[in-house]
Amino acid sequence: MDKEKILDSLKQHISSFAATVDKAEVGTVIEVGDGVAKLSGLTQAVADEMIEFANGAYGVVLNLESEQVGAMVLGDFSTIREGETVKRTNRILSVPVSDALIGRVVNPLGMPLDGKAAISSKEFYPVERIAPGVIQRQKVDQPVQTGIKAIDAMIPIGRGQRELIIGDRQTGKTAIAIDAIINQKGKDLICIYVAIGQKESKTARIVAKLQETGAMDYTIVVNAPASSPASLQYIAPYAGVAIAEFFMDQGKDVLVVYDDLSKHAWAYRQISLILRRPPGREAYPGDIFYAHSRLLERANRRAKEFGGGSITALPIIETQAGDVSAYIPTNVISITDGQIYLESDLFYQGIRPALNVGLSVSRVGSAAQLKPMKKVAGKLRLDLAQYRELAAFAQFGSDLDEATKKQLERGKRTIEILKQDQYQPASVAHQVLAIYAVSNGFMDDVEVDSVRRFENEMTEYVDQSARELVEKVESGDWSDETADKVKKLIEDFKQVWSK
Amino acid sequence: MKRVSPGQLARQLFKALESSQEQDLVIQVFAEQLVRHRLRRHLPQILRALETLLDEKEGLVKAKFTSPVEVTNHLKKQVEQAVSQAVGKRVELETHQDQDLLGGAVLKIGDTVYDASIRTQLAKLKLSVENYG
Repeated sequence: MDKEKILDSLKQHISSFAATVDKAEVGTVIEVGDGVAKLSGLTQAVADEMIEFANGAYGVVLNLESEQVGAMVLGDFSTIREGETVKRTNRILSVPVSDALIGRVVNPLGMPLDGKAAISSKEFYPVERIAPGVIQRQKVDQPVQTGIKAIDAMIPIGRGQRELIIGDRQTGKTAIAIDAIINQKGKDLICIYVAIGQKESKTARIVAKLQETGAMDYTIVVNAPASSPASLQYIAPYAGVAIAEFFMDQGKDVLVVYDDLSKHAWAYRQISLILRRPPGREAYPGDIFYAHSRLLERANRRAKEFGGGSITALPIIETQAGDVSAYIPTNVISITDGQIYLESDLFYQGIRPALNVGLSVSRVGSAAQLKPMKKVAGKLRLDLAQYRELAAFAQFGSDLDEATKKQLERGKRTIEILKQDQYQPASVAHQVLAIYAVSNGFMDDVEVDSVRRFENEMTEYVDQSARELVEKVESGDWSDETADKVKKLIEDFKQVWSK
Repeated sequence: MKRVSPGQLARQLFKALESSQEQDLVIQVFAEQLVRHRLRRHLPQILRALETLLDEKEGLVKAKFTSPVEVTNHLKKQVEQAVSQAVGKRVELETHQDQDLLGGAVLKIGDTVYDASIRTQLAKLKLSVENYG
């Protein structure tokens, strides 16, 4: 488009602009402080409506009382003065949505934070929306491959599922979520990473990593950092899921990571207490459960007749000293369809991802697992459970029979296979091969220290010599013939490797 | 004790004043109660609420007319008449000069603002150009 054309079309746009009288209902600020304002007037205001303050900041109506309205301020509240007028906008709190959001870092109101151009969008989606009902849903039947062996094998996640990632600080919760996002390359899944109350440095590092791995091509980052007002932190996850709904309405699959809901609960607690809502357990407001359940219920796998698409949610909760029975962790555990439980003890033992396989579950994902994975992983879980039992028992005695020793050795190698470096997601076929090899005893004569080297070299070997077979497994084929071929392939590799 | 709002206090006082013969006594008792319950700081809000109630009773509407040029008495009368015709009530018009409006005028009737100022129009035009394309 040349300059003249742009100018012409702009001129036309400006000349067609009609001056109209702007009619608005106004109220007055009675009191303002700590991100919350009390207003008089605004008798027609509705809950969740956006209001505009004299300094240009927006607010959201939260409390409708007989003589005043309580609102939280989204933005700078330091220049709002008592007695100033407040305007109703007649618009429910909503975020601008468009395909142009992909690859961008935005705040919960859809404003860019990455220093790039403004995002033009004609559509707005309400931040609060009722979750789809039973009729509109379909059962979870497609997998989300996280690329993490321990998760894809034993705690599989399906599209439309809500899987909690829970653990203490510094146990690798975010790492799991980011690995899952990185692994979605070419898998037709749009990812939304919602950072709530995180340090800007951490979010910047994550964005840089996503860019480096090419994951920003299908990822949106919604950022409400620790320095932003509690109101923005509070609406961030709802804004994130609203954006997800926009893509789901196009029939697409979306993965949303909420990092993390503990800080979201803190932000909501702060707002509620300043609004003088009565505190309950741990000083959280009475509707904190509803705050999380209405958010996570919006994750769903929608039936084809209703447009298809799905929203998978990976909420993250940070526990204090491993206490999963605190208020917020129990709430979110009960809402989600399973949890991935990370432990600092395991982390320091060098088992990374520091997954506690015994306590982690996925209640719906197994239906979505690929057939080869289902076949090989069933045995894995059992092996690990037996190993743990024996390992605890074997600490007391030294005289162990041959079978027990063998099982212990197998267990050690299995644990070794489940270790995985950060940012190194593995494809399904590679996972299946590794797990098949260890649980069928092909690694029994490999030193424990060399297990990971064996795995890496085996992966390289099969990629070079049996591309077709890898693709077959990847597509979900696990017929006897394929299984035999896999077995033969691993045997062949061992011949080469031993030498 | 549940917190009583200034509006509730004002309504009660208004009712009492309407029904009572001895208005001075009512006001005295009200003032004493305010002091006793430490509600004195709400006095400005109570007065404002009383004023609104009184206006309502008398069928009076408060309006505010802001324009960038000086509002002449003649213009004020015209606006007053027009507003009073539109809402069907008596109008108490306050005028105000604000050069930041650039042109046009802003009229506030009760809680509703009709903004026909050039400043707002320009802001709208700016927004529409920004979002254009």
